[in-house]
This record gives sequence, C-alpha cells and structure tokens, in this order.
Amino acid sequence: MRTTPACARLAIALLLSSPAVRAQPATEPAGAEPPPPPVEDVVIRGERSAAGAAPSDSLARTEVRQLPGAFGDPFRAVEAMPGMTPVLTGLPYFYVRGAPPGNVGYVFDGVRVPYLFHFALGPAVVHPALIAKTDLYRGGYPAALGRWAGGVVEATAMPPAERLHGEAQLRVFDAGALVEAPFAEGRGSALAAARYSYTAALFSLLSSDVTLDYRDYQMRVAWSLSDRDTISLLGFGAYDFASQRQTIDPSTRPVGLDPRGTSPYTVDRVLFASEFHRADLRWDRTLPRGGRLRAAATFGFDRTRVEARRAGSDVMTAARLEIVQPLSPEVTVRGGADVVLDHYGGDALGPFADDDDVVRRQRAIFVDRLDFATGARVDAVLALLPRTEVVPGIRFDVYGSQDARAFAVDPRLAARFSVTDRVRIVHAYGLASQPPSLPITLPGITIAGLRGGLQRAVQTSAGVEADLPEDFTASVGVFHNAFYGLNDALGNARIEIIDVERSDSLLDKSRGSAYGLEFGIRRKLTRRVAGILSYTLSRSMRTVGGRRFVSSYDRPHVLNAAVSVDLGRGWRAGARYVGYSGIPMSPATPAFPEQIVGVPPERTPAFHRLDARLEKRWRIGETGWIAVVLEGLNTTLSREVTGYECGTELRLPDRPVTTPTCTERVIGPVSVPSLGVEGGS
Amino acid sequence: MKTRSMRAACFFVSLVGAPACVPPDEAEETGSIEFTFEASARTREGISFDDTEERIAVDFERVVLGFKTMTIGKIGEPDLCAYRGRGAASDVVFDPRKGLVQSFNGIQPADCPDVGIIFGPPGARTTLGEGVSSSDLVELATGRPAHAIVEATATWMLQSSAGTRPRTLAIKLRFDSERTATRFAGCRAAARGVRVLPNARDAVTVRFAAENLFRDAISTSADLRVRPFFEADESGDRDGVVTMAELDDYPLSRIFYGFYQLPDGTRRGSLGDFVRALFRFTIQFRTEEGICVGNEPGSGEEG
Repeated sequence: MRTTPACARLAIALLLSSPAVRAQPATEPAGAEPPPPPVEDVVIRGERSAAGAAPSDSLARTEVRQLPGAFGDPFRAVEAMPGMTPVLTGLPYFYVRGAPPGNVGYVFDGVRVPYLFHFALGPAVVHPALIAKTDLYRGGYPAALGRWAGGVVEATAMPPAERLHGEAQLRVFDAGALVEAPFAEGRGSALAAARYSYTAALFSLLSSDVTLDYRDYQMRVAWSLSDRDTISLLGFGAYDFASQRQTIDPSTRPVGLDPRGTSPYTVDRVLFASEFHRADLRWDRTLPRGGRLRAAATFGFDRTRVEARRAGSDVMTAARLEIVQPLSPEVTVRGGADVVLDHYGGDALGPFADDDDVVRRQRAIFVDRLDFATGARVDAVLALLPRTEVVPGIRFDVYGSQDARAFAVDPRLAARFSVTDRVRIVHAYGLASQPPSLPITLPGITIAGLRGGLQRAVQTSAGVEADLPEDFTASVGVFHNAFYGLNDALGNARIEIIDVERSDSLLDKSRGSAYGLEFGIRRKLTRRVAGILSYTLSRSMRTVGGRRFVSSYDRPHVLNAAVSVDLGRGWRAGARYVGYSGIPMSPATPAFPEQIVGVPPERTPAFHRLDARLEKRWRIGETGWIAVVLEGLNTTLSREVTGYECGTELRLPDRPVTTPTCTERVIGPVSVPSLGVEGGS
Repeated sequence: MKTRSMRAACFFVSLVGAPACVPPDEAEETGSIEFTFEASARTREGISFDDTEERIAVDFERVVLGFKTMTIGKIGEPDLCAYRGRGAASDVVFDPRKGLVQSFNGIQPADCPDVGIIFGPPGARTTLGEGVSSSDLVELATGRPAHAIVEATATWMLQSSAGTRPRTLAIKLRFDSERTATRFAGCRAAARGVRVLPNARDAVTVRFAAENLFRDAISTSADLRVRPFFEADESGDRDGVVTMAELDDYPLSRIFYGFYQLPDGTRRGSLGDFVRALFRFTIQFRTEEGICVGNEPGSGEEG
C-alpha cells in the first residue's frame, strides 16, 4: 500500500514567491519622472506610463479585460509577453529568459509578495481594479529592483481616487468587490476590496472529503498631511486552503496510544494551506522640481502548510527609503536603501515522515532562523544628448542567514536611442543576484543558510521598438543571460513540476545560459479590431558537474496571438491562440548491459490551445456599467504531453529481443470556463 | 515554531480585517518501519562440522535473491499502514549477505499485523543490489524464471584406515518461481507483524537462512544434514557438482534417515521437491525464532 500525495505535491508546486523592494508613485505628473529603462507595461489605467517606457508594451486596464484567457487579471496578462516560457499550460509559472520560476520576483506597490495567484488556477490575489499598471522586467532592470536573478513583475496600485467608486464581480466560483471613497473633503481616502470563494461550500454540497478555499483582501487609507505630504497605510493579504477529512478508528491503533477514547473521530488533514499578509505604512513627500521621497515600514506574515505536517512561516519586518530627484532637465537621480528582516519558523518533516533523503534535504529548508537583507542603490537617468537616454546604476546588497553572509554588487546599464520619432533602439545590461531559492517558491519557505551561495545572472539585451501606422506598435530584440550558482531543480533534472519537492536536485547548483530573439506586435485592444502577437525563439542550457545540456524546460518556440473584435451594441468577442514547443527528452541510461530502454522522441509534442471570451456590456448612467462575461481558458480542451513513460526489456540469450516502446504522459485538459457578472462605476 | 511572533502576526491580521489564519493541521504524526534484509549467521559464516549430523561443513559462496516488494497492513483494512514516499527499493536482485534496506516512512500509527515479502524472477525494470552483477540477474531470468540461487561447497571429512580425507561437493541450487514459494506472509516473532508508533522507527531484521535448505525435516528446528546431496550427485553424474536437476532425479524414497517427507506427509517426490519445500522456511523475522512462511507454490496464496 502506498499513499498518493500527488494532490499535495501539485499543491506545493502551485505557488510562487520572491522577495522584492521597490516603490514608485502610481502616477507622476507628466514629465516629472525621467524615463525608466525599457519595460513592458502591461496594464495602465489612466495615462500612459512615464515617458520612455516602451509605448508598444502599454495596455490600458480596459484592454487587459479583453485578453481572452486572462480573466481580467493583469498578472495573467504578462504571460502573453515575449520572453515568457510556460512550465505547464494554464499555470502561472514561467521561465523568463531562461530563469526558472523561483527566480521571478513579484512586487505589489513596492512590497514584495510571495505569489500573485490563488491556489492552482485561481484568480489573482489583488483585485484588478486596484492595479494601475503591471510592469514585466525581463532583465537589465532598474537598480531599484534587486534580489532576484530572473524577471520581475511589478504591479503599481491605483492612486487614491477623488470620487466614490466601486466594482464588483460575481462568478461561478467566487465573488469580489472593491469600493473606495474620499472623505474629509478629499484630504483622505479609504479603499476596501475582497474576494471570497465559495468552493468550500460547493465541495461540501458534493459531500466531498476535500475542502478547497481561497480569499483575499486589500485595504488602504490615505491622508494628506499637507500639499506635499501624504501618509498612507496599505494592507493586503491572501489565503488558500485545501484539506482532506480523515476518519481515525482508535481500534486499529496500538493499545494505549490514542487518548481520544475508542470511538472513531475525524481530523482535517492539510494538503496545502498558505497565507500572506502585508501592512505597508508609508510617508510620501513631494520634493522641489518634481522630486519625491518615500519612507515606508512594512510588516508581513507568510505561512505555508503542506502535507505531512510541514509548515513554514516568515514574520517580515522591513523599512525602506526611496528618493527620486531631478537635478536638471537632463539629469535625474534615483536612490534608495532598505533593510528586511525575515524571521523564519519551520516545522520540518518529522524524523520518519517521508523518505529519509527527502527528510534530510527538507531540513535545510524548514529551519528556524533570522535572515536579513539590506542594501542601497542609486541610478541616474541621463538625457545629456539629444534623442539619447542612458541610465547607469548600481546596487549593493548584504545577505545573512544563520552563520552565512554574502555580498553582492550589481551594476546596471540601460540606454535608449531614438533613431527617429517612431523608432528607438533599446539596450539593457545588468548583473542580478539572489539568495538560494526553491524552483517553485512557497510563502515562508526558503533555503536556509545561503546554502551554495548566491545565484547570479548576467543579463544582456538589445532591441528595436517602432510605432507603426494604425496604432500598431512592434518590437524586436535579442537577449543573452548567463546564470551562475542557479537553483533550478526543474531545469536540471528530468522531473515534473509535481515531483519537485522530492527531487534530489532540490538544493543542487548549476550554471546556465539562455539566448534568443523576441518579437512583439500589437494593436491597441481598445480599437474595434485589436490584437497582440508575441513570439519568442530561444535556447536555454544548463551545466551541472561539467555536463552541459539543454534545460529540461527549454521551449524553442513560444507564440501568443490574440484578437478582440468590437461587434457593436456592447458585444465584444475575442480569442487567443497559445502555442509552444515541447520540452526536450532523453532516453534513460540502461542500469546494466542486458537492459534495453525505450527511446522517447527528442521532444514532447508542441502544445496548442485556444482561449475565448465573449462580453456583453451595458452602460448605466454617466459612469456605471455592467457586463456579462463568458470566458474560457483552453476551449479546445487540449491536453499537454509532459513526458514519456518508456518500457524496458531484458536481453536474454534464450529469447528474441523486442524493442520497448514509450507512451505519452499526458495532463489535462487543463481548462477553465468562467461565467460572471461584473459591474462598477 | 516561534508561536509568539505568529500570534502577534495573527493578531495584526485580525486588526486589519483579514481572513482567518490557516487552521492547524490535524494530521497525526507518523512513524516508520525499516526492514533490513540480511543473511543468517550460518549463511554468512557457513555451517560448521559440528552443526551437521554427518560432520559436513558448508560454505555458502553465492546467494542471490530476486526481491519484488514488501507489504505492510492489515487484511481487510486497506487504508491502514499506507506509507508516504517512494517506500523502498522494490524489484531488486540482491545478495542478502550484503544486505538490503527497505524503509517505509510516513505511516500513521497503527498495528500492522500482516507483513509480507514477495520474491520473483527479475524483469526488465529490475535493479541490481549490492553484491550482484547483471549476470546474476540474467541467470535468474533465463530459462525457467527463478528468484533464488544458492551455491555452496560442502566438505565431508571422511574417515578411513588411511586417515581423514576431505570430500567436497559443489551444490548449485536454483529455485524457479513456478515450483518454489515466492510469497512469504504471516511474519511474526514474539508478536505478529509490526507496530507503528509516532515519530519512531521500528527496525526489523529479516534474515535469509540458507542453512534451512539442509534440514532433514520440514521444520526450522530439524537437524541439518548434507549427506543426501552427496548421494544425489552419486546417483547422478558423479561430477562433484550437484544441481537442482540431480536433486529432482533423486527420489525421497531412497533416503532412509531423517524425516524426509513432503508437507503432505508423503515421500512421493524428489529431494528437489523437498528442498524447494524447505525454501518456504528460509525467512527469519526479527529473530532466529521469528518466521515468515512461504506460500505453497501454485496455491495462489497472497503474501
């Protein structure tokens, strides 16, 4: 007999996190802030991102709503960007320019968050109406962003509104709402938002032994102390829970072991549970000449429980100081410093709770300890020459965990050259460092003791952006990343994502590189016929123990194509095609000379899926609206091949040899239908 | 876990109107059973002259077993004693003198009275344990598939007027899975099966006692006798090597000492049948007195 913890292992594999520290105001007066280095602004409400951000990468929030398969979540929209290589269809875990999912950082309004999505295919943990814009930094990012060796997804909160407004959604599995109101004649503003899933009740109706539940909340209170000073408190958090009810019969137990008597009783066995909470108290001050200062203190709590009574928690205390100061029309200096204390608590696997080697490895992860990270950074936006903008920067970080210490100096350089009014050449280079991480990060769980040293990445990219007629924008670029001391159990070993927690390469280090070409073209999704197309051609390599090989999640081709059509009378329909190459396969090595092992194809088959969206919207009064949305991820019910199960044969002297065959391991179809009503004003 | 800081965190969370903190895990703490396969002392060190009736010594030179898997549980209660993780190395050919460890972890506390061991011929997915080579595996798989090979050298110190002269016999026994027990069940020592306690590991020794193949009755306490093996070779090709084929050609009715009867109480069979029947009693559980009894081949008994 054997338990099958696949559900729990899948659960473990389904959340991501990374640390982060950065904050910028949600909006800036036009021209107040010099252009940042190249980013992909996926979501913007209100005005476009600050000058210099790649306009071809900007989408209004209303446009994100139209992206089929994104369910209106800005965070899901980033997966349609070039450079994003999915691990598995539908799951929001990506290799970004060759960096594994655990090296991708998430920041919400300057505060690091452990993950952006609820359990499995759940929605985003922040109400979409609260998100002003989401930036995807694939490499060579500003000095303000650090402590990751991969990409960074940074979301910025909407600024306090000047009028009462709200939004609500009611869907098959959950309901959410956001409301914000000014008070004290506009000096203050209060916002509250929440989402609640009724999946637990649905499961209960089905008499299931399984409980599945998720919730999230956001709140913000802002108060203007003066024309130049604002103090605000931003709080948000999320909760996910999956458990299984189990009946215990004391009569089956060793005598005297059970203190609860002799009658059977039930217990709730946690399969997966996680939560995180953040409170960010900040003081913003406007400085002369459009400069600004932010001082903030953050308190956070993360916790994860996974099967076999493992739990990890992190009480985070952080403080940061940020300043942006234009010195002249041509020079702006940006700087900052921060300190983060993470008080990790860990309930590791019990001494005999799993295979001995798994227990041993995981004791390097579930460890009570106090970690710290502190650093300072500075960069300057220099527009000293016409049509030229150069952003040199550097950041210093010191890390500590148990007795280990590490120091990183990460220089950055970005440049943008405007060839014409419509064509720009963009360069971004940088060194990025990150403490050891899990390939799929969980709240409150990291690798203790800086085991194996920092992960480091050298990120380089260059490209061209162009504004085309008819509201088309296009970009093409090449990149090359080199990784050192990388923690990438997924990419190093032939394991599937649900097996990652058991992998014996969980703590291993590797070197790696990734290079490729990225192409994107889009037409504003607010046009009657709009669309987006992104394509990535790449190769990702790993080197372990002197052996160089193609990363297990190398997908040479990734293509996203979406189109949205305004049908008139409030109807809008859209479809998105997602297609990508399979992952590389290699035959297993025979265990002994007489064993014949089946040889799988060189790669799994390419995957294709089609997402669709249909919306009918009605206007109510001046600003109100209500819409019925029918949306589906993977409407083609495509199934993804994740690998091969290959047979073996024995070469025996008295029997004819037959060639063993391989059969596909298939997952899915991972398909999410959604029917909901949305409204707001 | 630092509960104080967590309480503070939860308190803070409640202040800001957050959802409840995740509830505690009510899952029970688990335990482990670790079986270590070994060879009995006589299998390792040999049977001495003093151990046998005829003062014949036996040295075991090759012991190979085709192990499939183990079962732990309680018959009729399939949910009990389930384990977490890979469990142990199943489907392996090994030499019990070198050992094989089977660890079953993550078991919820329970009495697991039904422990079974399953042997079988190797297949294409079989792995090699310590002390064996792929030629051992191939030998087991070739021809009539087998799950055990025992090879030994017997030395008989014969007394004559000229003095004492040794006579040696190479014994090569191959136990095919069709006619030999493959499933051993009802493992017991002082108590039946194993008991799983939270946060504890019960270390259980399982020994292969090759010497029991030389008993002169179907009993683990019967006397050890090697003389019939010499006689079977004499009756066969007299080459100083006795094989299972020669034992199969040597009828029990020709043995007039000991209690050479088959389990059905008859002597209608060969010495080969008798030795294969003794194979059912070669597994010692925890102690020399403990035992796992092999099934009667073809009976369909589950381990």
